Amino acid sequence: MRYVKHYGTWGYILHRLSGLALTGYILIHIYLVSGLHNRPAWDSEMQFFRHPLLMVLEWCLFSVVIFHALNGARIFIIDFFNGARYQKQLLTGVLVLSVILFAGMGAIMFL
Amino acid sequence: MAYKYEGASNSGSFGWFFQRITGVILFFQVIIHFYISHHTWDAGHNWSTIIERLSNPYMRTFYLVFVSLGLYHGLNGAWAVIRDYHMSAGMRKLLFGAIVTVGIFIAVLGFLTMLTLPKP
Repeated sequence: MRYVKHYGTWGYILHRLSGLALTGYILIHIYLVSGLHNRPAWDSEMQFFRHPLLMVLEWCLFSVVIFHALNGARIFIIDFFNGARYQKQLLTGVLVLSVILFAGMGAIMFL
Repeated sequence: MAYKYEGASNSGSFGWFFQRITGVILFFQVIIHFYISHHTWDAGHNWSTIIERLSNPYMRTFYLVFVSLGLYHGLNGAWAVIRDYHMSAGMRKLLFGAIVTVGIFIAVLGFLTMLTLPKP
């Protein structure tokens, strides 16, 4: 869609893309967890998640969840608490907080 | 995009409102989920740890709600994105049918997983 991309529009675009990614992820996640019924297969599958590349992907997944959750809170404030008046500042807050939490989670996971 | 006005009860405003309500609940549920199920590698991947945790009925209830609301919120969001693009009425129906089918399939799978877990 061709809209003029103001600052807040990037919040809208990122919220949609992260939401679609998370929806795809939740479908896969529920499917994989159904593997609990077969213990030997589960144990061998889970070894896969020790791979450093997958750890990095999980770290990226966390950043997507965090952004979507915080921006979701921003949308809630815009819709129910007159947040449209300061939605740009809120978006900056969401992005800054996301980066901080992403870095924090990286420290927890890898340090 | 041509929208047919179908009256207030079918205007989509409930979907809009419920998307926000489920979003708020999921905001807290996802924090709890990360905290209890992914605070260590074993918490999220060790078979015995997971089975033992999910043998608690409160945990199972939490996850049944989490799966239901998560799938609803995610697929309703995907449908909201799709509705913003121009397409034929047939394509629209096809995509809506696909979303509902996938949603029901994965919801049933998730519920069965939670309700028929092996003994620890």
